[in-house]
Amino acid sequence: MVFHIAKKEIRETARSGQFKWMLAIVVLLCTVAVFISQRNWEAKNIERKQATENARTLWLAQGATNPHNAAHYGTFAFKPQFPLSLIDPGVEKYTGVSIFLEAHSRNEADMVAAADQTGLSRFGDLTPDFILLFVIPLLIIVMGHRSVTREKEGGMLRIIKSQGVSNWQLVFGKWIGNFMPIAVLTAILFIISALFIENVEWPFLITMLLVYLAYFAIMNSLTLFISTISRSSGLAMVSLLTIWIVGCLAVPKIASSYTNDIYPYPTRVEFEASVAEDKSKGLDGHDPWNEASKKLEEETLKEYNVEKLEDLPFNFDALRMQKGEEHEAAVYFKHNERLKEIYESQTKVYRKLAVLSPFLPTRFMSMALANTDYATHWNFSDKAEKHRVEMQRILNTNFAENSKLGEWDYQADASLLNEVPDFAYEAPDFKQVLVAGQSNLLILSLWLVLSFGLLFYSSTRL
Amino acid sequence: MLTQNILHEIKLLSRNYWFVSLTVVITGLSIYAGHNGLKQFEKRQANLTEAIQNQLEKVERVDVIATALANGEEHPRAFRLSPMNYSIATGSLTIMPAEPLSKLVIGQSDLYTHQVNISSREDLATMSFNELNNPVQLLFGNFDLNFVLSYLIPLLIIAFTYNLKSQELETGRFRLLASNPINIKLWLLQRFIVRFLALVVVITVVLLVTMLSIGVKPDLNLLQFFGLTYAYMAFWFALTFLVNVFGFSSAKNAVSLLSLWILLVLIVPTVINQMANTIYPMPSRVALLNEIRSTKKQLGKEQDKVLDEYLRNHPELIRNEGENAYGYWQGFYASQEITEKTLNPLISAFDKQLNQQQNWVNTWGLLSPAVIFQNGTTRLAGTSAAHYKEFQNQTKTFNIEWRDHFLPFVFKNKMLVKSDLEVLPDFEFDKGVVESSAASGVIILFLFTLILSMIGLLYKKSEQSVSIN
Repeated sequence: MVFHIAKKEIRETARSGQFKWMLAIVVLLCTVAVFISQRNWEAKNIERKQATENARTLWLAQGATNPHNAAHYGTFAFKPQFPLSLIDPGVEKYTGVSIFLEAHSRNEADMVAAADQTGLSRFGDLTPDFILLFVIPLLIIVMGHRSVTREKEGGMLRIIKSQGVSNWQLVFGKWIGNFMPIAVLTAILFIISALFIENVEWPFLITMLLVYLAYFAIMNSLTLFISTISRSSGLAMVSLLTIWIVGCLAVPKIASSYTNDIYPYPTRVEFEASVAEDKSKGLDGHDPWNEASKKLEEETLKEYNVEKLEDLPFNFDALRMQKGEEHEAAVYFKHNERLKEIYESQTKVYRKLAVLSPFLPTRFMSMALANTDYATHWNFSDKAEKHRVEMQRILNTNFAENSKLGEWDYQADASLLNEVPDFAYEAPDFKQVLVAGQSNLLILSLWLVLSFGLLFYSSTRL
Repeated sequence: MLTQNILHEIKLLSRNYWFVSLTVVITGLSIYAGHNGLKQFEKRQANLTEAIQNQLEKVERVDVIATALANGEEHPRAFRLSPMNYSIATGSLTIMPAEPLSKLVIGQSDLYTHQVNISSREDLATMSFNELNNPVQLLFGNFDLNFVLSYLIPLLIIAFTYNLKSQELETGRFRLLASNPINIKLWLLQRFIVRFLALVVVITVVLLVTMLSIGVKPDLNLLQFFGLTYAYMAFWFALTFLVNVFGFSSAKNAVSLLSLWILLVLIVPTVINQMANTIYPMPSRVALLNEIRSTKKQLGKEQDKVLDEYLRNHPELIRNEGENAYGYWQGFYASQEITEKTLNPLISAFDKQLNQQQNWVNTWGLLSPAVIFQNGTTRLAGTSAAHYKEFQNQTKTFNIEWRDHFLPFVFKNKMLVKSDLEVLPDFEFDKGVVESSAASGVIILFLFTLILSMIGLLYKKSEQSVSIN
């Protein structure tokens, strides 16, 4: 019985002119979105691959050089372009993709794409996630808001009931009838995207599809719930659009304003000033007259039981450099940990606020599965810093072991540059992403249960 | 007929439960949005004050040393007065003060920084103007008054006007009206104008209450802000008028108007943005970085040649002390300037593309009233992309001015003295260069309103056929 109703519902939808128009628009938008995203993705991918190779070539091309010069010359860590960013570019536009790795300082990720765009970019981009998150829920509402009210307004309800259909069968049949076209459309969008993506990571892609289907199921249940309890189609439409605007537009903005208000970030100038202050309190690898340098000098002389720095079995300049580097790394670590604490507090607030709208958990899960969320960016930044510290250690050790005090013109063999490993970023794996996203998944499931509950409840009142 | 119509409308509105309750909701949202803006504004001001304070302290510390030296005393930190040390470590500060209206329109102010430390060591090509922020916040945007006005008010207008004619048809009152000797279109237009004026009064009150609660003083910009808001509202009224004149059923009107809202507010801006990025793609920043590095590497190898060439261009800096008189810093500044010259075409390619994107957006943005509105409000509030671009350009120019000021000292190996510290270049953001008037936006929106209303008035469809439908 349920399937008869669903079939009838789908047939009716397919016949309606409104649906044909909406479908045509959505399909057109999807095609354009996938096509443009694919082109951008391809271009950026080539760009980043070339840049990664270039950076390495430039690094190695230094040839025989002083290790500390090499450290200042530095190199770049690039965040790779992840396959699923084609579907959901997440916060990529705002985070930057490369980090300059050099002696003495931890740099922020640079090249924020949004800064290279007009003010219009804040309206959003026409990418598949925009259609999935905003447009398809609207399609569900437009298709489904009259589903039940139509029967009431046309006086069909009594006739249908007289056929021996239970309320739940009727509502559930309509639910399926409304959901199936959307599910098929979504699946097609994902399949087309998958065709364009090289090296698809199936667990990520399939989970993302499931997350979106859950999101649409919630929207569909809410639509039918409102349609069931509303007196007229017009009223159902207005209520549903209010839900859409509040859930998809207002709540995210309120959440971001609220979160930023209770856990504000320091400004860049402030952050840099406090780093500089802490740095100046400790050892400066380039300043032998600094208090901490003097102390290190004494301790080292005592440890090796020699009178003069020249008598040490290694180059003290390089040791000082390394100790300075370690101090600076610790300062950066401390301040970045503080920043991370703010970020983590903010994330916790976002997680809690996710109960306000099914949009939020879906948004967060989608970004996480595409490796384009803020957590991945932090992970990238931390790994790049680890790589930088290791790079400095290798260079300073070579300097210390192979030269004498004051021998600033020492040149290490070009092979030293090869000893510094190439930076390759591995994003969190599937399991880690799921573990990190468990609260979002839980909230999404709760929304699913709740929306079905509401629908079931309303069906008993029909 | 006019007076009767007005009285009737007012009666209807005051009895309309929805109208009253939604007005209350809008007032609440508006005040909440205003407070979000206020907090952002206060945070920005506090940060600015702190940055200025820090800079003053830095300057003062050196001033003390300079005074001591001027009095013939010795000072252990006299090296602070070396031109390199001063221009790098003490440096200067460029700031972009907040306009009062930025409380209403946060715009791009969460993305970019408003204070930049100036140091002659800074690389202009890689200077970053991005503020430290949670990118999720940037992605979601802010709940400010601009959002309430540009997204929510049109919906309110649609909700109150979508069925002004169709309702009469559907309830059968239309026949009564038609039997009276009145012009139906004029009657409908009057209803729209009355409702428009009623909403103007409501919004004005709501905005005034918000302004009062967050402390925005009236000025010419605020007046323009109101004008732009009214023009934006008028546009949406004209659109609903037109749809009403076409005479579909109430349900169909609602769906068409909402589709138009989605199209004009949500989809058109996104598509225009996407097209701007596709048609005028930004050159690769990644490639630029590598270019910068290879250029520097090349210049580093030819350090002597670089300095020679530099001095050829700057004969005023030559000292008559023979060869090898120049040290590290002289070479540094020489290669810095030549690097900039070499990279200039690459960097200006970015500005050129951005300009073209902006032109594209300015032209095609006319397709969406929301874009026109946002363009106008961000300009009034000094938070538009154009304002930030201008601040960044002025900062870069100042950076060069700052460096150039110290060059003669560096090349002549001369320490700074107290009198030198009194004539240092100073920065003040000149926002006059950026167009910050909303007049064109107001005119365009009213023009659209006029055109839509005219189409509505001239549209010919026999009323008889409508009432039969």
